[in-house]
Amino acid sequence: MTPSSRVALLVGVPPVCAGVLWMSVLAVAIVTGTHPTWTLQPRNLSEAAAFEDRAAVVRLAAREDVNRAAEVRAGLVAAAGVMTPIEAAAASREPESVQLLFDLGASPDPAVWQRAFCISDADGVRALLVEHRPPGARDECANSD
Amino acid sequence: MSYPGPRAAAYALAWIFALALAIDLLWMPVQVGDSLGEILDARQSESAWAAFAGSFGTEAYLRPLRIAQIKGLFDLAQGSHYWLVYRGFHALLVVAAIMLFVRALRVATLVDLAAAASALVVLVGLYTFRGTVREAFPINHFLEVVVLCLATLNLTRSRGSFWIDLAAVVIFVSAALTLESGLLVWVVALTAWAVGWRGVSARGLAVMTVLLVGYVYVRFAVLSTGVPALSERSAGYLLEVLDPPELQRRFGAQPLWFYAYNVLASISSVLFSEPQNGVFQVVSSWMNDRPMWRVIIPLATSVGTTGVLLWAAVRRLRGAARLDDTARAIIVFVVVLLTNAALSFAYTKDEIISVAGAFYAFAAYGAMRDAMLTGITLRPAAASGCALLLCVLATGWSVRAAGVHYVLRSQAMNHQADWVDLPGRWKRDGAWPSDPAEQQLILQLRDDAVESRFPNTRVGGPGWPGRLWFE
Repeated sequence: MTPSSRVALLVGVPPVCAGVLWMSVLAVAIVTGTHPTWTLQPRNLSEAAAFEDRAAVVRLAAREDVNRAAEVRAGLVAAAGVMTPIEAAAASREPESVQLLFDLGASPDPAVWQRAFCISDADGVRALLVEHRPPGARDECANSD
Repeated sequence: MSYPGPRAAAYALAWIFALALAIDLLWMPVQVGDSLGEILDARQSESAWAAFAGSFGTEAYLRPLRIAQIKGLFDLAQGSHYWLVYRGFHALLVVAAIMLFVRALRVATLVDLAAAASALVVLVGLYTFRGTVREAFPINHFLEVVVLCLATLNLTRSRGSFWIDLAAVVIFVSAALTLESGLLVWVVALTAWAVGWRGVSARGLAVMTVLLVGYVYVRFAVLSTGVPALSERSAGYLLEVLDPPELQRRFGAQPLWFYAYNVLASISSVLFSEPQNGVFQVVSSWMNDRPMWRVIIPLATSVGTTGVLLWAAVRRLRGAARLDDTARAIIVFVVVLLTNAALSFAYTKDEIISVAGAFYAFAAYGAMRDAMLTGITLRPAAASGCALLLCVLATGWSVRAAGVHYVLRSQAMNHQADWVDLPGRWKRDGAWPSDPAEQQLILQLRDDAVESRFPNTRVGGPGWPGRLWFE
């Protein structure tokens, strides 16, 4: 191998690796339907809200009750366990997700409303919840300031 | 067993990048911002010609072909295939840009191939290029102008003929009537001719010049189309983004300083990858304890590559090398950079300077090739150091180029979320259209976006992409 070939190899290999890796990632995603890096897919409406995947919220809301509680897997987002979509959206601190669920017909009862209110300290989320406060719901949270 | 030659290998690598980019672009909805209004306008327009004719007389821009193209593709969608025509056209444009770029390199040897591979990742990894793919407008006209300028570069490097001249003139007219930066086609043709690439003849250049003078006369004297005002949009300035009222307050009485900042920021963004969209991200990240790799790698690779370019230019200025293709490429790049930056005086945005970015990568090809050929003639220690430096640069640029995938995946999800929110937001704001046909169009575009499945880059994924690359 000549010196120029060696240098050419040193300089040329990284871009080739980048291109091949990129194409391979896409090929895996196309063939398997799952991206090799970002694999998380919501199993229910509550998870879709918790994962900030609003398109999945819309898709799942077409066949699921927007007020039904379901399990959000532990270890993926801060709040986990069985919760309603509105609680999961509040936990994600995304006002847009909360608004979307109200647009889709979410109507939390006072207990769910209070849990949603207390689970999120995001101003935008709390303001939206206050706009949709059901009769009898309290905005007092234990251990909150 | 026969192996492909360096030229074929360069095209093969170009196809890999072009197809990867094209797939990523197809795997993305049309965006809402700066797009939906134009699509709705296209629906109301009677024809592409009507859209073209109706776009004269605006205050700050003269871009009739831009609107006409959006209308043309709208009609091509035949009321249902909007995603396919708009995203498909974007994918075609990116393939054209990559292939025209590689064609202009004229790869012949193994060293050329290595330099071309590096130049490809420089092209794709530059922030200026990223802007041309992350924005999913109905048509990304910034990318279109890059394609037209690279096509012109290829014409100037041809043997020349009447048809080449005619093609150059048609390209110039198309580019100039699409975006203001389309005037760079004339700059490319003129500078290339001046340095000895005379595929576009003096006659062709004369016709383009007459058309340029006509453009200036019609724009400013006949149509009285001005230039963008400070009050038009937000713009980056030093460490922050200023909104129009703040821009007006700070620079309304003395806009020249702001315009000068924009020109210098545009030049610097190509040479050093800082500032980005007018904001110095390195300083901002350091001050706010944000991840540093994603700003250090771009800065270091750009400084290194600009250094190699500078070294190649100085060698020639000192007479160590004649006016070869590398020198020509550097001269064309410098002129395009200065002109492109001057045209960006009103506000700084990475994609506006994308033509200069493409020519930076073109010039970097010659400089890297030069460095490789010179490096092997040095003493062993110096030769190894040179090879290592070039390898590190190529690796850094490869990391940057690979980051475009992350950017596009994140953007796809952002665009999708915008579509999800749109009907509710417009209804609450009283902006929801009363025309049922308009409503149907919006809901169809929204359904296209909502039904697509995109990887969730926001939650549950690894943290390293966000530390390595900017969204």
